[in-house]
Amino acid sequence: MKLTWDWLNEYCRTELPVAKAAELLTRAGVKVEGIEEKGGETVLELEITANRPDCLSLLGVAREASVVTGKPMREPALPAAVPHAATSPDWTLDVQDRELCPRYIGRVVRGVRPGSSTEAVRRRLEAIGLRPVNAIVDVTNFVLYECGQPLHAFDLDRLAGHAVQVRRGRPGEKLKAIDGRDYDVAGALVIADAEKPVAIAGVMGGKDTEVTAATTRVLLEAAVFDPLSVRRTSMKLALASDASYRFQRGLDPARVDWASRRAAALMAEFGRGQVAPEVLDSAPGLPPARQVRIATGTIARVLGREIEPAQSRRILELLGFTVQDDGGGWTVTVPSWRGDVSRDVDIVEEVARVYGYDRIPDTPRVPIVLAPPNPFDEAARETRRALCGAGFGEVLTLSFTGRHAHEAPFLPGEPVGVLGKTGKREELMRQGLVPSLLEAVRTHEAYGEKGADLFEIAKVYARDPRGFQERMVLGVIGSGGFSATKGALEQVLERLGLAAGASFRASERGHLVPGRTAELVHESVVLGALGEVDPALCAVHDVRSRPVAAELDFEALVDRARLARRFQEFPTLPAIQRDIAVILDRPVSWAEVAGCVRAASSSGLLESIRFFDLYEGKGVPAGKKSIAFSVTLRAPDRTLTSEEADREVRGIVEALGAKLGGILRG
Amino acid sequence: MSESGLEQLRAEFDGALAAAGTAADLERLSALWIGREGKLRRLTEGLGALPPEEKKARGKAINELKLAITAAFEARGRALSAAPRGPAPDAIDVTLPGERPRLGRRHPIYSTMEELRDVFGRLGFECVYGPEIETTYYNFEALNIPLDHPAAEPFDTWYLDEPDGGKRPHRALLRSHTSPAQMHVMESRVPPIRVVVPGKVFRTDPADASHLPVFHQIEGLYVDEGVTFADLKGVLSIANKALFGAKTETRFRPSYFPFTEPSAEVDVSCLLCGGTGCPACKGSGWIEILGCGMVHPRVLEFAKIDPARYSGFAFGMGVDRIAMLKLGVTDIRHFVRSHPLFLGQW
Repeated sequence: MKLTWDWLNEYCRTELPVAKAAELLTRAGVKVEGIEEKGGETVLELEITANRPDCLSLLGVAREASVVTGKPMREPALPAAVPHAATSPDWTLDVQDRELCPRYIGRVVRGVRPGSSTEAVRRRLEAIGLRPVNAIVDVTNFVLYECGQPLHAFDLDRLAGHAVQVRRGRPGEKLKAIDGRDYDVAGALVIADAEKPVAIAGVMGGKDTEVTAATTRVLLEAAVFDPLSVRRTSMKLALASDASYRFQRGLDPARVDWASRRAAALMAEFGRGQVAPEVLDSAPGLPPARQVRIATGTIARVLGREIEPAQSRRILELLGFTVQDDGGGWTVTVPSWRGDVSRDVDIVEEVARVYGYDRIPDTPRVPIVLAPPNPFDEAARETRRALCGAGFGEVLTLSFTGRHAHEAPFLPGEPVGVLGKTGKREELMRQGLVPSLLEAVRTHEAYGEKGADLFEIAKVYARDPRGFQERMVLGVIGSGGFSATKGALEQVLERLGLAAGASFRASERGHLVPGRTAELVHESVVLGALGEVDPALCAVHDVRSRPVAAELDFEALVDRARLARRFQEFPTLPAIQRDIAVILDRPVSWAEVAGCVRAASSSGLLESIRFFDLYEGKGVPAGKKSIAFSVTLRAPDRTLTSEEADREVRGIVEALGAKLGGILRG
Repeated sequence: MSESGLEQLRAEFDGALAAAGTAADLERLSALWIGREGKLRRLTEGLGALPPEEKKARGKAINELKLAITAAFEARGRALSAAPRGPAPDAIDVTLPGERPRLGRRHPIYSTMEELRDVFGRLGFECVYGPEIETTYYNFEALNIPLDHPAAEPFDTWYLDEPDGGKRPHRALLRSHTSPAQMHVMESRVPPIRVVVPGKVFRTDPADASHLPVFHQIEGLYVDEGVTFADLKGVLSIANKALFGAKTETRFRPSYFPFTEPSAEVDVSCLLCGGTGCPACKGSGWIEILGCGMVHPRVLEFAKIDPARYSGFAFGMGVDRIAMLKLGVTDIRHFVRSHPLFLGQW
């Protein structure tokens, strides 16, 4: 909310420089966001929190200013009440929906000549961003900003039947509002004359009944409307105003009558009219004041600082609360403008914010505890280290993937749609990380980066018969080919202590190239897949290279990870290493070769097998391939002899021949 | 001659030796020090007149000096007599750049999140996680945020498309803050509770330099008997020093959040100017960093924790904003664009 410094000082002469006053207000929770000079006025921009509609007015802010500066507050004086006329007015008021409109005051100002407002009023309104219209309309805005109570001025003689009804809009009813647009007001609370709606209650008046230069009799509306009703109407019609903003936050019921009298008086003054003794008030009187009990010691218990009861009491009284000692505590009567205060902690906050948050100590008395580590964090840290060390960079991508969402799903089920403000499905949540990673690769390619090796640990989403599902997934994409990306994953598995139980086997995924795809199995559970991304999918994402992508169920990895390490004795006797190359049929896999080699060695001398070359082409018959590997042989208790090693290798070669048709190469 | 006399002698020798640049220099020096009439020889003169104890100690010191000087002589002699070395035939251009192994970089948001988590971990806050898909109950109602009220307005929420059109009492949504996780923790544990919850949050904000529809928060919660606002102030002041530097000042301003009472917004002294005022802090010297407050008793009641016995504080901060401040990133969209020149900087 905006206000001008001069205007504020009319209600509380702070006798402070504006910056100092702004600082004091901010420190008490009335945040001054900015101060600027505009059209000869010093304009303050305030950020008023949703719980403080009372501060959406000059008087409300002045009250705060008075409390924080210690300077008195001065409310404008109202003219003495004009006695009601003996004769009944020539217009009627009928509030049909008293629940949504608990009070409606109509007051007539006669003989107005709505010319321009005075220069001073115009300048103030313009400084806070309002457009001056005419003396009458300007008064409603002036008083709205002065005290927070929205008002509306009708041209009484344009109300059909000189009638005012407060009711729900009927099916098919429309209204052209002051903004010139037509609104469908069926179901909304409206002000109507004998024939039709003339205003959207608490939101905006109608064009046809607005005050013009020709108006001579003004009907001034000051009312209380149900906050929720105003809010729903405003949202439904996508129409917001200063009035609707205030009504939906809840207003001071004690201001309604005050605002009506104040505005009428100003209209008489500025509009050179006459306040007619014609007032209709649908429900005079005020709701009872709220009382809140606060037990002795509560303030110290919440704040951790004792505040002198006399000081707390003084703060509350300055703020308009009345405090009664009831033995064992206080019964606090809440002023009508503070609908937000309903519990003892609210009272504590009132005292604390004026006392000063900075005066509350910041010495914590918190016991020392050891926070247990989260297994996810530990596994994620190891994973990130391993991948960064392997040259893979971490990316962060948005969880929405729009049109690409249901390509390459990782989680089974339907894609999850999100609804925009209009209630229509606007976006889809990603069901896998591959499309996001492809987008990142595309960006890298677009900026001339060769070899985008990237990863992210993030959630993917789906909906299945059980409901919405979300799963944390590790996604990796690599430019170095299948084995390079696989190698990086193997490093991750090794760091997570999962290498021993893990294996990869040929598999298929819709978005990966068949025959160039594997799935990761750990202790017979499939944890994810790895493979070359389908060129068609790459094309959709404008990716020119042929990256290899992997996705692993990271939550399963976390559950299975064994991060603790223990020293293992390592052999000190010398080992013998032998290289073997065999020619095999092309379809025979390395896994089969390794399995065969392990099975062939019953002596216990075979320590490890290491693949080092795969060759097809010249020197190898068509349909065949050459696989070269080395075996490490070692005896646990003695130095192995060359003869023993030869025997072992012969056994291995024979087994490869017998079981896999392998022929020792050259 | 005293101990310091020997040291002085040693220093004198070292200076002379360093100045000897040729074999001839060295020879002259040798005669002066080690020769028959040399300085070392003269040291032993008069030794016999000393009492036996003193004689022994002094003799030992002189001997050590002799050995050291002789060794230094020999080393210097070897160095001077060695043939001058030219460059090796396979000399290399040592100014060529090294072959750097490619290292992957951490993403600054995820590493900032880790840093925040670790700082609070050191203060005894356990890190836990909560679901990203939530319901109106956990995102709003249980946090004392009336759904149909302006207080819910800052949370521009993405609702999920539900097969039954969302007609159930609690609609599904993407959490618009990490606070719903507070409720899950309070429902599943008994106090004392001291946790932080980092994670993604979602709002319908269109992307601009300071907004993204998906961003990150870290939420903190501490519930126990006797937790006070002073504890809140103390913990966050300490955490801010850990996060932004030991000189960081912390300021608490009254504010409003439906789920805390009293509530505060927290500013830290400007990271750039240190509080004197600069464009980054709009001249105020302060930068707003987080929101916090004492857990509203109504929220405790929702979690079936007795507010008469327990109290707590909660806080929440934007990870992206903190990363931007700490790293000087000027546009939040850089974080999600995967630009190699951005990612390569961290």
